[in-house]
This record gives sequence, structure tokens and C-alpha cells, in this order.
Amino acid sequence: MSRIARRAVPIYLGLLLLVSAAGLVNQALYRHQTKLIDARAKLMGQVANLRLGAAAIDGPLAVTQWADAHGMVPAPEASQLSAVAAGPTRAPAPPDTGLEIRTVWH
Amino acid sequence: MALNRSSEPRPKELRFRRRGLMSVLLTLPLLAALFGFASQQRGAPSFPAPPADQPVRGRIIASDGTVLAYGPASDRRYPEGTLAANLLGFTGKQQPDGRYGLEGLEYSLDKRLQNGQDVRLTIDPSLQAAAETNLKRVAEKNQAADGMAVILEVGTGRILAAASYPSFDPNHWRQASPQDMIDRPFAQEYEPGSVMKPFVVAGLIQDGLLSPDATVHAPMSVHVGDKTFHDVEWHPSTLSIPDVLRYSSNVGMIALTWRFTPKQLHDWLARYGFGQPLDLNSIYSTSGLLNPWQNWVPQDQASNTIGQNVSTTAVQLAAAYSILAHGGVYVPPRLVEGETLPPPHRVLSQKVADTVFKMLIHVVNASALKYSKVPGVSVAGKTGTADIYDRRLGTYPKGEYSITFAGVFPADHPRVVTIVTLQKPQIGSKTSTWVAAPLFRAIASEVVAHWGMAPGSVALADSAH
Repeated sequence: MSRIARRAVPIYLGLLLLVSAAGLVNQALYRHQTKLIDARAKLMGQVANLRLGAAAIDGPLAVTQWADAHGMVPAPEASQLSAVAAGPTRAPAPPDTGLEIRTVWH
Repeated sequence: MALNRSSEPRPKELRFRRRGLMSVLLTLPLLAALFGFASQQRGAPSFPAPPADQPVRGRIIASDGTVLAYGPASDRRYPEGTLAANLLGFTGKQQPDGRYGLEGLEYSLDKRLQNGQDVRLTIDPSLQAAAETNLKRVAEKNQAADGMAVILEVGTGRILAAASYPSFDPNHWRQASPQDMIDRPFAQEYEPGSVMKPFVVAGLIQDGLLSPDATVHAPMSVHVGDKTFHDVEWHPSTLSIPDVLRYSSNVGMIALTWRFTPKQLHDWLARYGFGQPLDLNSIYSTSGLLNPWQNWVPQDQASNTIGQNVSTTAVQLAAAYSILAHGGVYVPPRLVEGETLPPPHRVLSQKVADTVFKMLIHVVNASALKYSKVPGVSVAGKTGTADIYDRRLGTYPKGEYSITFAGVFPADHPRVVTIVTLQKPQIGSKTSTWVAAPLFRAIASEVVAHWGMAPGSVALADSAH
């Protein structure tokens, strides 16, 4: 092996290893990116479903239907009622936040 | 040392090992690099496209900022579910003409939405929900084939609600039938019946052919050509003009219509917008049908006078009623904020419009239309019950009716016109007085509650009587 070859081979090897390593890192980053894109798509899907879920609770249609189902009437009709709903309307249970507040009367 | 070592003779075995090692060292990284890039190329097509590659599509927003549609065309979302679904439409795969929108506003405003521009509608979500909920409830109760409801703001032409029954969820539009997707207030034309009568009266007064104080001889039936027209509700044989409307007397109206030539009646109906295209570019709408007067026979003129043989859409009807409520001025209906529309124009004089509008208040107050009265709020309105023409059979099948109520409130200071229509109710009463008027009242009450018009004073005023 000539002297030039003896010097070039390690450089070649080094560069080759560098390129290989860069390729592998690049591939790993790309996989990571695709995972993030996947996760973003899933999260956007979740947000869309949550928005639908929220609209099913406090959207204009849901509120109107809930009020109707619980015997509520528009304000102008209030004076015309001869009978009222059988019992008080139950408010939906508040979400469990883990925080409890007690009111003590003195 | 290195010089000494390199000058030493190398054994054959050692040289062979070094060459082998070198071959491996040369080959392995090469293979690794090739494998790395090759697998990257192989795996690439299965990766999801980055979000930046998806075309941005504008949102559709209600008047209060509620988002009704958002997201790219390939993954369009409608967060309010069925709310205004027939109006919004939906998107799908790109069509040969480049559109992604397949129905409704998604179709008609596709270009603007594809450019990423948001569209703000005049629709008020609360009123839309009130209209849809009540329309569905009454339609299901009476087993109606379909129905529609429109709330239009007087003076501005803004459409605050446009409800269709049946409806669908645009998030799952593939599961819906084509019948569920029709945007009925704009796209369904029907013969409106007696709700047309005030327009004929207004035209006659405007042309000086009728005095508002006149009376008309109106028996319970009349023959015109080969057709006999009957009145439904019993009434005295002589009627004032307001009572012609109150009793919705077909005979009385037909007695009056001969004061018009066919052309005059035709032109008046056209002036109100019947049979004319709406100037709305934002959504597909039909113009209804007003046959050329040259083709009319006498029974056609009689039929047109009572709202048969002429068809309209609910939005056209609402715009026409807003003329009476707005001092005789026609204001083009508006669905999208900022949309360029022709300027309002006068159709009737203020005096004539006010005169006929007072007659409509009389119709509600004096007749059996108590089911259309909103407690504490004055209402002007008119019922309409019409036979439905079957194009397939070429006739009007017996027992199939279109029932309509057109109302304006508060009558002392008109703010909105509301049109409700149900088609082919199967059970219960099939007249507008008993079905459409209560539906109108239910929607109107919710509108008044939405405005926050002092319910306490309303209730007190009522209880004082």
C-alpha cells in the first residue's frame, strides 16, 4: 500500500463513518418527526372530538334542547303556564376538582 | 520508533490480517450508509404529509363568532354538529372543476374558502338553534315530510336563521340521505297559499283600484272557469278588506282580483320578488315560479291571487313580508356579512305598506290565530294552507298540504319576519292555524327571550288583564 493510500484510507473511512452516522441520525430524526406529526394529527382529532363534545353540552342546540327537556319555557310564555315542571331541575354535577370548600355560618 | 517499525519486514500472516480488516472496515460503513439511506427512501412514502402541505381552507363563522366549520377540506370539521348543517353543506374530494365543497356554502363559497378567507354569516346560532329545535319537534309530532323556518331582520335583510327539516350531521355526511341535505329555505320552492293575499291587496290599493275601507260581497264559494273555489272558515257574506284577510276568504280575494288585468297582477307579484332570482351570490337559491301572464286562463289569475299556481321559497316570502314591515321598501336578503348586494328599493308607498300591515295585525288579533300570539308582544301575520302539486302525477293529490305562517313582530316596531312552513303533515290538524301558527309562536317566543325583552313586564301586563 502506497503512502498516499495509507493516508487516504483512514480519511475515507472516517468520512464514511461520519456520513453513515449522519444518515442514521437523520433517519432517527425523521422518524421522530413523523411520530410528532402523527401525534399532532391525533391531538387535532381529539380537539375536534372535544369541541363536538363541548358543543353537545353548551352549544346553542344542546342548551335549547336541554331547556326544552327540563320543562323550561321562553320568558314570554312564563305568564301563560298553568302547570310547572314536576320537580326542580337538577343541575349537572360539577366536575371533581379535588378541591373542597366548606362554608361555616357563625 | 515508527520508522524503525515500518522498516521491519512484515510477516505474510500479518499482512493478510490487515488486508482482511481493511476490507471489512471499508465495506461495513459503506453497507451501513447504503442501508441507512435506502431504508429511509423505502419508508418515506408511508409517513404522513406534513401539515404545511395541506391547503388552508377558510372558516365559516356565525355572527357572534361561533365557529361553524374549520380545518382543511380533506378533514373538515363542524364543531356544532347538526346546527345549520343544511346551510353549511360539506366538503369531499376535489372535483373536476377544482372545488372541494360539495353542498351548501362549502360549495357556493368554495373559491373564497380555498383562498383561506374566513366567511362570517349573518346567522345567529341561538336563533338558528331555536328555529331548528322547534321545527323538528313540530314536524315530528305531525309527521310532516319536510319543513323550513326563516328569521329575517327587518330593514337590513340579514338572515338570522334558516332551518331545514330533515337535517343531518355534516361530520358524517356520507351516512345521510340526499333528502336530508337539502337547504330548504333557499332551494325548495312551494306554493305558499293564502300568505300571498296581503300582497294582492297592497297592489290594488297602491294602484288606486281598491279603497282600504271598501267592502266586498263574498259567498262561501265561487266558480271560475272549470274550477270551484271554496272558503274554509264560515264568515258573513259581506266582508271588509281587513276581514277578507282575517277570514282568509278565497272568494273575497277572487272578487277583488278582477280589478287587475292578468299583466298587472303578474307584474305586482314580480315586484315583490316572486319568480325572480335572489341577488344572493353566496348560496344556491331557486327563484320560484311565476308563469307568464300571457299563458293564464281566468282560473290561473284566481289561483295566483290565493297563492296557488305560483311558487316561492321561504326566503323570498320573508323578503316580501319585510316590504310590508319596512314601510314599502324591499331590502335584498343577506346571508354573508360584507356581501355586495343591490341597494334597497321602494315597492309600495309608506302609507299603503302601513295600511296593509295594520290589516295583518288585525288578522292575528281578531281571528282564531291566538296560537300565533306571543304573550306581551304584538304580532302581525297571515296563515297559508296550500295544495301541493305533484309533478310526477301532474295533479294536486288530495289531503297533501303545505302549511305556512308568515309573522312579523313586534308589530309596533317590526324587528323580524319569521316564516315557518311544514309540508305534508300526516297526523293531527293539517291547517296552518293549528300547526304552523303554534310553531311560529314557539320560535317567536324564543326570539323575544333571546332579545331579553323584559319578561317581568310582559308577565305583569298579561296577568293584569
